[in-house]
Amino acid sequence: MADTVLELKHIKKSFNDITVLNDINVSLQKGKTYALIGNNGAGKSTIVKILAGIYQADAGQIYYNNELMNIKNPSDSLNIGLGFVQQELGLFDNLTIAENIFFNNAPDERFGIIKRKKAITLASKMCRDIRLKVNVKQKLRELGTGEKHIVAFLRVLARDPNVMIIDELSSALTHEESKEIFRLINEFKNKGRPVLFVTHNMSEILSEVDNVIILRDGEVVANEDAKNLRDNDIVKSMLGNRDVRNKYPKLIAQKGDEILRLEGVSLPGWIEGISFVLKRGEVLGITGLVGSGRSTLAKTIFGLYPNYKGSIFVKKKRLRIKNPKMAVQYGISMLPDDRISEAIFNVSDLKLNITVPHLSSIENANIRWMLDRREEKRIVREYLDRLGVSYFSLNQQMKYLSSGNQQKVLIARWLLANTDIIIMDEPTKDLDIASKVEVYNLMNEMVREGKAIIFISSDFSEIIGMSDRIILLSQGKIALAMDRKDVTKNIILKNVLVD
Amino acid sequence: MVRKRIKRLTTVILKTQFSRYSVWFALILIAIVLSIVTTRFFTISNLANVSRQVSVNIILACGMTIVILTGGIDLSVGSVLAFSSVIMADVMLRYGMVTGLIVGVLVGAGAGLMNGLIIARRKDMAFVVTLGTMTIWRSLTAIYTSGIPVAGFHDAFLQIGGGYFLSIPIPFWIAVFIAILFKFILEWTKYGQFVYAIGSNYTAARNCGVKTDMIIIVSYMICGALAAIAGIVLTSRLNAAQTQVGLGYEMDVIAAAVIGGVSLKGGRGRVLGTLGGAILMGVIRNGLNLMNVPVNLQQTIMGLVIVLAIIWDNDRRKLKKKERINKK
Repeated sequence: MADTVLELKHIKKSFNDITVLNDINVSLQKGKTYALIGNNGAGKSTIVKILAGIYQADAGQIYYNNELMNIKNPSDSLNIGLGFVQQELGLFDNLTIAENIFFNNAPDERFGIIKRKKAITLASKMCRDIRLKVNVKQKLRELGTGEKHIVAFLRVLARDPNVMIIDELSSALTHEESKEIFRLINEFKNKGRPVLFVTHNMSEILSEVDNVIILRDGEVVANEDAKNLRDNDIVKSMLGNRDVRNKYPKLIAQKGDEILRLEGVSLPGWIEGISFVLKRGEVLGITGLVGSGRSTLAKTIFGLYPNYKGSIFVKKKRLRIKNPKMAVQYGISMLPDDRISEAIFNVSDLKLNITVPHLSSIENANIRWMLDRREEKRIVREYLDRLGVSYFSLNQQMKYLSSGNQQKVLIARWLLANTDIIIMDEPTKDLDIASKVEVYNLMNEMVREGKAIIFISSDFSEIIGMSDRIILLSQGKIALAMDRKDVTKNIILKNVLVD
Repeated sequence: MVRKRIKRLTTVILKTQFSRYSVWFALILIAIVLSIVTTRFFTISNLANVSRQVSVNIILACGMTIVILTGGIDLSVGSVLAFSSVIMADVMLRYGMVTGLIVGVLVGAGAGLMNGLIIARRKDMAFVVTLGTMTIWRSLTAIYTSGIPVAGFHDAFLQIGGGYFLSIPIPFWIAVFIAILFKFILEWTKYGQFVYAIGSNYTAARNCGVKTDMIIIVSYMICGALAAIAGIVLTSRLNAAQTQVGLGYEMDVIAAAVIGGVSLKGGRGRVLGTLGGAILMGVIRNGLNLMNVPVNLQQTIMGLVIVLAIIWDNDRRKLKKKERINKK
């Protein structure tokens, strides 16, 4: 046990009624690298956030060098010497690279005065070491995603932590960049310090780590030497043996005419050569890793990127969708991934949130430019009840609803607008199980009415469970297109990892 | 013990619907206090005076309210008022009253159009842009008039600013009419819904197919046109169109909106609230005048009123939010 640096014992964590972590036991030894693997929702990020002091565990203990620790906030975590590279990076666009690397960690800081020159010199050296060709006096916002990830890594390194924990590093980096990072990690490891990688992309990691810890449904199901495991074993452990197709309330509706067709749709630098056909009553699932172009594709169809190449046919007519207003007119609606910034009218009441795209439905019968407020109340109430939204006043602001209810209000919005095609980008993100099921049921209702859904999700179970056909995007191109009956999570994962 | 009582009292006050119409309650309260403190407040001549004085602010504030609701702001209203007034005056003296009035309003709308076109795609730049146009119109006014005021108007025109109808000054009638008109427009038309939507979440509004550019341009045009109308009223009252009119008006206008409960972030607020805010400010100023408070001290007190109003508004919302969360 003398080699154990960090240990988690019997960690439990729930959010509202959902248990995310059940009984987590992990120990990190000196000088070893670990990969924490698990499907989306398995609990990986939760473990990281508990170690980082962002969440507190409901039960269980954390030991550092065999001493019991109480991590109540990020400060505590930093003081123990835990260093993190989070998925969201947590960097500051408006500060320079040097300022970011030495944020709150300035070299030779005394009385709160920062020695700029020294910070710049050191930062330049660190960048040169890792072969990052930048001027550290540049503002961070001028860097690309991969380069920002490297800066985040350097920031952690600058703190000289005792344990390094990296959440989803590789997907944003090029091969060369990854190689450099791993070189520095090996140096770090050789000082006798453990490194924990959290990921669901295995190919690069497997060749570099010592141990693999597999998480499934909130429990550690395997903790083994990487040499002893092969791809298949890992995939099997991650997914379990269930056939997810039976877990979801998917309704297979009768398919109608072609309602949407894409031919060679491209947005240089983002997506390329996207072609598919969508029929009425169909749910087309689109999945892929972060950055593969799913949301970009959705936004292109919705008219947010009018300069696309290729053709889009709605109801067999070739159309040029130049803005969201046209998209809505042609019968396309979209629930974006980032609800709060892009879809929800936070300070406005429920009524406005539901009726805005389709005010013609509440026009006064005689005077068309006037709104019929009474009719509005009636319709809004009808939709809210039909979708089972719990609210206490039609005048209440959206921001006071739970995520699940907010999403239902957004769905109500597009149901009212009665569009034939609905694009749903991560519709069940941040929703509790009950709300997720309600969303699935709503999807069924919509396809039964003859609408068509483009369903985007990074949860492979969900995609397989609810789609009729599935498209896998990788680096902006279609890597795989399969029918519901032919696909299994195995196949998707294999394709995702083979990159 | 006393503290607890006070806390409970404040909670009760904040809880009730009172909070939504708090401007009016405050107004009544202050009116009562003033009537007691000085006998000269509640006289017809004084009330007529007050109502005439707040009219210009009310008209300007209606336009400002719309612009703020879209999430923007218009610092140029004072300058547009001045510029449109001098042009209107000149045209009026040469080509007749009606032509003058029409041209004046068009000039105001034109200035608004300029603001709107620049701000439409650059939402967060409203402050800086209108700061710039404010300077532009003010200086153009000075150039146009070479510092010489325009005077000598028709009697009919002077009625606008100086006349009475049913013992109430005409400017006040105009102001209240405009306020009610825009209350109607904002709450009962599609345009109004779009204004609130854009102010609440610009991106979401675009994603709903709202023609955001158009709505924003129209809103700034309305604000400019109303500035011109306010200028008409003011010019008529002063019987002169001067270069320096409207200086610093934008501050009072924004204050009126804020006191009336309009959120500077956009998406929240009512025109009638602004109306109340403008009247409240006018009544307080009038009261301070009657009590012979020196002008500079009056400004201090007005400043305090604005700050208190914002704190009140903010804390009221926070309290409501806490309640809702507890209820769940």
